[in-house]
Amino acid sequence: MRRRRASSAEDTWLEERLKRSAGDLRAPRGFSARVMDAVYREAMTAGRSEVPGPASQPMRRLYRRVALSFMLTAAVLAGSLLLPRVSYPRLIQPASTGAALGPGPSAAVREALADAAVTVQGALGERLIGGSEQ
Amino acid sequence: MVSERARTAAKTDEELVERVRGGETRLYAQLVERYQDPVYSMAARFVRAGGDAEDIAQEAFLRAYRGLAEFKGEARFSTWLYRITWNLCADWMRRHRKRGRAPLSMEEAREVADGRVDLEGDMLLAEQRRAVRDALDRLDEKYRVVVTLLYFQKLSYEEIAAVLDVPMKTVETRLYRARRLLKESLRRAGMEEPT
Repeated sequence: MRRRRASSAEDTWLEERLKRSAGDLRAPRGFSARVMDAVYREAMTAGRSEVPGPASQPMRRLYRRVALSFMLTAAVLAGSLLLPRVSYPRLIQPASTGAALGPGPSAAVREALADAAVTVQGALGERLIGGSEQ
Repeated sequence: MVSERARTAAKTDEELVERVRGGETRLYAQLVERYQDPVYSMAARFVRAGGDAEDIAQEAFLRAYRGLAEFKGEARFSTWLYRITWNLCADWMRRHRKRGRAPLSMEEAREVADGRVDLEGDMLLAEQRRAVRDALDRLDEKYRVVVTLLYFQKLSYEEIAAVLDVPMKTVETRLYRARRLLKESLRRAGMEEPT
């Protein structure tokens, strides 16, 4: 009990010291006018003379969503056009320019077919020769 | 006939905030005038540099104005404003980590200049005040801020918790430790205690 009373007296003593040292701090003269100048400047720079209320927030949110979906669509379109070109540049080259720029898809197919024909013919020839020998 | 000033002066903070949000920007001046002293004094107590304290106080009001659209009114306008001020002060203190203070604070200098302090008669009192402030300066920032907000800014425990964004229990604990540290510090400085 006595200890609690002593502690409370100490707190009061400390409180008094703190209050005494608090002093009286006031804003400098003309402070509010300077703040309001800055506020008006801010309002003018923002192109409005009033702070937007909560009513304008849904519209802002809608604009943001529209802009975001537009950007996403543009990104998907750009991706779908560019990705195949980057991944398969040889296959996408037009056939007309194939001759000038190198073998196009049709030339490659033709070459493969010719190779296959030679292989098949060779195999058949060998078989025929082998058969006659037998 | 009631003047415009008198009519708006009687408005509550909430009414003024609503009207400013509704487009009456000039009414924000009422809020500035109402809170310029506590906001400035809060900045001056943490920053201790005249120009910087004024800049911080001005920035706090500007930020509050910019954020009015987002202000939901869950806390009181004053608490919200103090919180902005405290965040600015904390940023300033982080940037200027060096602690310590000028030999004569701006506040003390002004008091002397105004003649509010009688240099001869109040020498002892001035010495005591200085000891208390030195003890405060030696406190860790988290303890110093609760003491400052409670004793100098006269905020309630709830307001301090809201300004610092900590639970009320934390405020109580910090305050308890701050008091203990302050008492020890003052005892070492030779200030008498009640027996």
